[in-house]
Amino acid sequence: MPKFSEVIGQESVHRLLEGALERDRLPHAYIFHGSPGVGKTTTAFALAQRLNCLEATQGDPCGACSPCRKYERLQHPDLHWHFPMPASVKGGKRAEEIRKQLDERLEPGIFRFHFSTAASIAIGRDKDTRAGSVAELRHQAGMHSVEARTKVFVISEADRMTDAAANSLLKILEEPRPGNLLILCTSNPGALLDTILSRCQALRFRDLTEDEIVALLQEKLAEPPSKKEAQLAAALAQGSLSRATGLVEEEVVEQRDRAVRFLNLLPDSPESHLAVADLVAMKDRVLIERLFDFGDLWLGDVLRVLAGSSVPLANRDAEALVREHARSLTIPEIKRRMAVLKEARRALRGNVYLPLILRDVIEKLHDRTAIPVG
Amino acid sequence: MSYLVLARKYRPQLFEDVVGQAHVTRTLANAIEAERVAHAYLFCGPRGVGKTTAARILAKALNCAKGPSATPCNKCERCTEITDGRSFDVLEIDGASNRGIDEVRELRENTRYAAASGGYKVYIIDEVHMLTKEAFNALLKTLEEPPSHVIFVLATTDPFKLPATILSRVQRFDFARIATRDIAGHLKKLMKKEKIKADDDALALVARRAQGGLRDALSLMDQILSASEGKLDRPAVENLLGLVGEEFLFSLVDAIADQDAARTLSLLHETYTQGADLEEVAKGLTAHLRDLFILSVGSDLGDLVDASDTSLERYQEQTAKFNPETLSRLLDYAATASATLRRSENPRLTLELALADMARLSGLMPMSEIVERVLALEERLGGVPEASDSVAAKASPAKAKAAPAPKKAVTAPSAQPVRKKKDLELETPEPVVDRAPPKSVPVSAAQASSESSEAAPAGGAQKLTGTLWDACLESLKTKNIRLWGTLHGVKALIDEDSDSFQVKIGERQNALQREAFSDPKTVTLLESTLKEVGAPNPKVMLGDIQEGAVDPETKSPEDERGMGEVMKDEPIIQKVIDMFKGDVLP
Repeated sequence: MPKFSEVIGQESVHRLLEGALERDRLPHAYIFHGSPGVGKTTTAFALAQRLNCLEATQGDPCGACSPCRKYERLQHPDLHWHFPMPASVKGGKRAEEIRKQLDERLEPGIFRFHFSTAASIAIGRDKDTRAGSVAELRHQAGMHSVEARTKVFVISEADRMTDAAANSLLKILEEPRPGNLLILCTSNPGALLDTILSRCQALRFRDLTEDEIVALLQEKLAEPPSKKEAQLAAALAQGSLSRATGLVEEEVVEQRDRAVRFLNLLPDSPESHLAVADLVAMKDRVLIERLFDFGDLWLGDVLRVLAGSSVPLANRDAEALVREHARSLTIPEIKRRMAVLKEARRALRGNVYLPLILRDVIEKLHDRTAIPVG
Repeated sequence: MSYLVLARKYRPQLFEDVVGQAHVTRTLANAIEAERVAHAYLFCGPRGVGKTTAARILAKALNCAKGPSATPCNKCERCTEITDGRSFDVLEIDGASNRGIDEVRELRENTRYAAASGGYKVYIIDEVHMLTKEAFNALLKTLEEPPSHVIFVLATTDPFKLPATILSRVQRFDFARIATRDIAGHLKKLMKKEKIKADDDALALVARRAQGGLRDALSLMDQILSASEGKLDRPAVENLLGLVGEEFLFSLVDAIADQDAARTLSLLHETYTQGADLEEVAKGLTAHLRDLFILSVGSDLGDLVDASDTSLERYQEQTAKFNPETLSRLLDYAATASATLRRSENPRLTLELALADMARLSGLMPMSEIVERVLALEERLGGVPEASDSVAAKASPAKAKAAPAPKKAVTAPSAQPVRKKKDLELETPEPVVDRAPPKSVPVSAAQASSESSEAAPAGGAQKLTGTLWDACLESLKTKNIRLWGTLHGVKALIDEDSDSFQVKIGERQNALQREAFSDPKTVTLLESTLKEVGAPNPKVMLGDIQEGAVDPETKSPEDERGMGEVMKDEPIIQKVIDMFKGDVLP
């Protein structure tokens, strides 16, 4: 159910939208930007629904009138949603496949959209939002709305538009027909063309605080995580609820402990060989990357302790251990180790031979004279 | 009717309304008055500075019923048609979505027909950089010699994407970024029209934020107006645009100046939980440090700093807390952090690390001061720079203590405490000693010590020829500095038995120097150089001469007296000898 009130922590954005509606100063194009999973798309849909709701004059759309019901099923003819095609879907058996992927993408457990191929959802031909999709958008934008007051185009992950697609949006972004609203959603506004940014009002969706995420996780999920788990997931999620949701489904605490053990392995010790063999056997690069993430988080906590800061630690359940590590580290050493992890991460994405990466990390983390590349 | 954004509502309809592009608009107006309008124009420049607007005004000026005139009436049928974008004779084409050869062919076909109104037919091709190569080429002939009633206006942000053949056929006008105060002035006018009260300071902030694009500024204004209540002032704007407040930046940099890493982290934490964008924080910090840096370069450079007069004083105050060199390094750190933030896996951590590091850095002694102290030290130890030999000779009287000494030597002579206590806690050996000057002390010391022991046996061989060798080395400096680097300080053994002039190198030289002497190229170079400085018949060879061949009286006292004698000089050994009435065995 797309509702403003469903979106936590974005009060300032909602106030701004409310103000624009109230003063009749709604522009023709918005950019919603912010970390993934903080409520950009939800707000976009809620805004579309609100604009055309027959009842609501303030706050959430009523959800009961006929346009509202259509919006909630994503079946309103005047709602157009463009998004990059999920990467793994190719040609042929599209509809079913996409529907499944969409269901997966849409934050299970938090809320769920009903997806219907009948609604006018234009999809890029390839994995990026292509000019073809934008051509469709321009065509649609040139026509009268079917029944709505305001026709809304939502473009998800707008930063993934190809150059040609982005450029062919320019004219329509500048002077669309009256009654059109374009909403570009992106987590990386810097990747948008200057010419696009200059034509839109950019609203930033802030990162959720860790406390908000913890509260949300414990409140919304079917199987609420323990406080400890929620805390860790929130710290790692960097303000994104969807990322945190994904994290609590894994065993974060266990992963963290493994990461800390890994960081302190002595090179060439039997334990290090075992750990490397173990990780290689899992063949899970995502998991290993997560390991490095936890490493970063841990080092960040050590940094806070070293600096004598009162900022709460991410690993506050293991504060004693963090303090112990802080005794033997210095700020430049933390900097060096973070660079080691960064380099390893890059190697990991570059598909470097896994045992090599892991051994290298263990080696370099302990060799204080080593200067990591990059 | 839905709301029209400011940028559209106040789109200029006359040349004189276009902000900050006088060089373009005046030329165009004059061309129209003088009836010297070209058939193809290219308008290029950054986003939101008035390219499309100028093109439309040009179209109107040419087609206005009151005759081509630089000031279209904006009242006649033709003018209003163009303003509304429904004129048959002014065709605004979106180059990005009509980019193929087919579209251009169609366009070419249509140019043949006269304008419906009898005036000019103006083709405005916006975003022309997106045309394909084929489309450009298809356009060439038409662009060169269009029918007399056709005028092309191409508009783009990326003129370098156009082929040279297009560029040479059009009159090009470069639109400039609009100066911040022009934007601010324009905003002020608009606010008056909109009947909204706004502080100059607030408008200046919006103008700066727009970075030269008027449309950017108007989009920002729209956003502010849609949310603000009552009067617009600076804090309200900062808040609405999610900017990092000046206040915050001042306290953050203060914390850095106090080397208080904990406070920097707390400040960051606080602002982050309030919803600040970390990238904005990094950008704001970089800009702030940049302002401080500029002021540290010259306090009269206030004009280059984006600050009101009242806050300029605060900037000056804060600048005084830093050494200019430290500021430039801090700026470097902040800029790097700001650049890496977006690609970072964990931006918050990256920023925290950078801040803690900066707090640490601001406490370290700046390099210029270190150099100064080294120079002072040198002077105290015996003056002239070339006396590095003597410095070393005194600093390392045959004891192996030379290496760890320099750091102490650098800091010791000053009476005042070098660092504050806080920074000692965070101190690490890395940053202070990792630069050249302090390092050069141990290097020259070590080198000189080897020299001094080497110099002794060789020095006395032949005084006159010894200076010849020095002269040779000196001129080597200009010829092959690397070789000089290897050889300088080498005291060669010079043999003038025969009438040739022979340079040999003793066995005590290090391997690198010996190697240089065994390289035929080096030998030839040395020989020719020696000849130049006046040595007769020089010959350079690797010495196999015995150390003993050297005249015994030129030996250094240490060599002569042997280890035992030398040790006797040591006070502690003297004490032992006195106490036990013993002697040191040779």
